[in-house]
Parts: sequence; C-alpha cells; structure tokens
Amino acid sequence: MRLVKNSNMKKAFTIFKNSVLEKLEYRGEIISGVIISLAGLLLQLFLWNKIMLENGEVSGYDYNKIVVYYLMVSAWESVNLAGRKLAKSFMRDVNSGGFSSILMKPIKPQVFYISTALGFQFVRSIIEFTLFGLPILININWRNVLDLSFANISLLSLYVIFITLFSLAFYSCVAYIIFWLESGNGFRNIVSQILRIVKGNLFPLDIAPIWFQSILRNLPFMYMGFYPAKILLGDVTFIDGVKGLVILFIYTIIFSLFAKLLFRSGIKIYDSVGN
Amino acid sequence: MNRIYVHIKYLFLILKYSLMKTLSYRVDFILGFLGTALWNLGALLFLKFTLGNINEIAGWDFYDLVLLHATGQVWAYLYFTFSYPSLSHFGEYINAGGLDYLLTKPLNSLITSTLQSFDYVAIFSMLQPFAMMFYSFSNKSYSISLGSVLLYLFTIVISTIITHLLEVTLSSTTFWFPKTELGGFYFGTSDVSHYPYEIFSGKVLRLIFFTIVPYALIVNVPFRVLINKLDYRLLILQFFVLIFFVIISKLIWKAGLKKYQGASS
Repeated sequence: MRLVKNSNMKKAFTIFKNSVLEKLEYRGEIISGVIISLAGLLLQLFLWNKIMLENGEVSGYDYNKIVVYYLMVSAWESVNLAGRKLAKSFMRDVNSGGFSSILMKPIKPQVFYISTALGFQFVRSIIEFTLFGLPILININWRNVLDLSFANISLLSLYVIFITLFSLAFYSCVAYIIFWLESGNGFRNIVSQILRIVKGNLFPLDIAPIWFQSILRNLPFMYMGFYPAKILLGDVTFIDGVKGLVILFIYTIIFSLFAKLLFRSGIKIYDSVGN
Repeated sequence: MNRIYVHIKYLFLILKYSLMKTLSYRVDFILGFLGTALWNLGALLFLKFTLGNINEIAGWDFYDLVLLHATGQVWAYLYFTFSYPSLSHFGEYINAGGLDYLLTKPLNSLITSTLQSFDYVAIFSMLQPFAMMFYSFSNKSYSISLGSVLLYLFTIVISTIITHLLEVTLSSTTFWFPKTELGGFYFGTSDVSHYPYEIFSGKVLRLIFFTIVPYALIVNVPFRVLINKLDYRLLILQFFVLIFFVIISKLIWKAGLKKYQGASS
C-alpha cells in the first residue's frame, strides 16, 4: 500500500517537474504577459494620483498605500493560478475529447491536472512576485508602507499554502461543471468576473459600505487577495489573520467534498469520440 | 470598384458565418452576455464606492463617469465584435504558418488576416452600456442634440478603427519577435481610457497619451462630443491619429511580410 502511494507521489512530482520545465521554456511569453498587466495597473494609478491630489486620502488610503495595495493584490493573483490553470486545462480536454487519453494514464486524472497546474503556478508566482514587487523595492515611499514583521511573514507563508489548496478545491468544482456544458469559456469568465470584485482586485474592499464587507467576511474569497495585501500593509491583526486561514480551511474542505461529488456524477455522463 | 465590391462581399460572408457559429453555441452566448454584465457591475461598484467617499473626480460626478464608462464599453464591444476575434489569433498565424493560406487569397492580405471572424456576443452586450447611458440621462440633464449623437457614433467608429490599426501594428511585431505578447498590449492596458483625460497631467504625458498611445483620445472624444463639452481641436487630432496609424500599420505590415518565411507544409 505504502509502495503504491510512494509511486503515485513520484509520478505526481515528475509531472510537476515537467510542467515547471515547460513553463520555463516559455518564460519570454510569461514575462511579456505580466509586464502588460503591470503596465495596465500602473496606468490606473494616474486616476488614483488625481483622486489623492484632490482629496488627500480615501478611506484611510493615501497615494503610497493605494499603490502598494494594488501591486500586492495583483501579485497575490498568482497564488491561485494553479486552480485557474486546472479549470482551464480540464475544461479544454473534456471539450476536445483529449480527456480520454488522460484517463488512460497510470495516474488519477485529478492528480495529473493538479500536478501540472502546480508547476505552472510555481513558475508564474516567482515571476509575478518579482515583477510586481520590483516597483515597491525601487521606490522608498512605497517600501515604507510595508509591514514586514516576522509574524506577518509567517502568516503570509501560511496564506500561500491555504490559498493554493482552496483555489484547487474551488476551481475543481468550476472545472467539473464542464461535464454538463458545451464549452467552458463563458462559465469560467463569469466566475472570474465575480471573483475580481469579491477578492478586492477592482478596489480595496474596505472602501465599500459596511453591508458589502459583512457579506464578504463570511465567504472565503476576500482572504485570497484583499487580506494578504492588507496583512502586508500592517492593517490586519495576527488573530484576524488566523481567522482568515480558518475560514479558508473550512471552505477548502466543503469545496473538496463537492468537487468529489461533481467528478463522480460527471464522469458517468462523459463520452468522447476520438482516436 | 469591383475590388471594393469583392471585399465588401467577403466581409458580409464573414458576418453571416460568424452569426451562424454564435447561434450554434447558445449557452455560451448567454454566459458570455452574463460575463460582460458582471464586468460592468464591477466597474459601476468601483465608481459607486469610490465616489461614496469623495464627490467628484477631476470635476466629473458619478453620472458623468457612468456615461463615460458606458461610452468606453460601446467602443470596447465594437472592438471585441470586429477586431479581437481575428487579432487574438494573429500571432499564431504568423508563427504556425497559417498566414501562407491567407496570402494566397485574391484579396487584400491585411484585411483577410485581421478581419476573419466576428463575435456577436459583444454586439448584444451593447445593450448594457445603452442601459447605463439611459440611467445617467434619467438622473442628470445633459444638452444633447441629434448632431451630437451622430458625431458621437462617427467618432466612436473612428476610435475603433484607430484601436484596430494600433493593435495590427503591435501584432505585426510577431514577424520579428515571435514569442512576445505585444499584440493586445494596447487593449489590455486600456481600462484607463474609461476615465477623464484630466488624470494625465504634464505636457509630455499628454502628448504621449493623446497621440502615440491614445488612451486619452479614444473614449473621451466621443463622450465629450455627446454632451457638447468637447474642445473641437481634439476632433482634428483624432483624424490625424487615424491617418498616422493607417500609414504606420501598412508600413509595418509590408515590412513584416518581407521578413515572413512561412512555416506550413
């Protein structure tokens, strides 16, 4: 039993390694893609610059703080890339019939997709944190806004693991819906548009009214981007940070169970025509 | 004359087949519509919550900014309908050799390469910005005339053509740098176009953002034309920017074709 487990782990690690190597081959593409996102983000700062010039600050954010918030919340996007990649690849393969060849591999299909996606996230996270972090390191006014205490760094390390696990569980559910759809793009787009709002990518969630914040506090999504960025800004106490981890953990279990259920029902109705 | 007729016929055929394709994936069509609605919801929440803490941005209030955003969406959906479906695959054609096939057609290769399919989801999504405009008009009075509406439509079409040509120019860099994602750079960073151009201060920045990367021009000109608040020199500038990109895109496309070697069997 132990031997089989070890062999599965070995296979998963090999797939992860191959995925890392494959992504490294396309590093030019990744870097140019990230630079486009960074440029888009920096252009948005013209708006905030104008707002801060006219008003001084908005809901406790001055110009430096808002810049660091947006850079960090964007960098943390890379931590849930594994989930997004999993959903995209799985939906594409089920649609095209390529999933049949994955089913024949001597490894559980879920493990195959998760290992590949983790390799993808590993490379992207390093590149994205470097490129989004670079402007903060260069500009002393932005750097001074960060709170890099030991407690915060420890908390954020745990957030990397918990967000990755949650995003894999959540996006597995999104991915398995494909068994009942003709194409996955539209559904995935809807999910990403909702997440863009509730994760804090569009605006810091604490500028929203209290009722909006109260709804989000009991859902896991604000802990995927908004919270890590606020921890880095020193606006979250250690206890609140731990609470966020607990919420992520509970939702990870719920979505994992739901994903299992969806996969079992979905695989029964899956059929494909291929060679 | 016959050549122009052939090109018009080609574009109508593409319109017809794209519609048939869209209607074959009805669920995707509905989901696509919902996706754009959520995108707009996000943008409106951003404006609502930000302006909940302050009253105006650069002298423009919430209803003005909703109208500006809606204009930006009309422009974006026009781009998504006519330009994006082809340009998103442009790099692939060059890298994988698909361009060989297009070059053999008895039509203008720049047109056939950059206008191959259309996306109707975006056209139907146009209902959303019109609803936002209606919301702004019903909450604030603007001085709008038939002339300003016609000029609005004209300038927004010009803005879409400028964007298309700018993206063609950027995508053509694939001839020299096959593994970059420069195509899509302008549109990918164009959210800033949805804000008043007063956010760009300083002569150098204004020069750049009104001409070479015209974020300040694309959405702001039609918006200000509509509400009769345009500095009309900007209309002339928009025309010159159009001419500039017609010339630049053609030159770069021709230079790229000389460099292109083909890769198909």
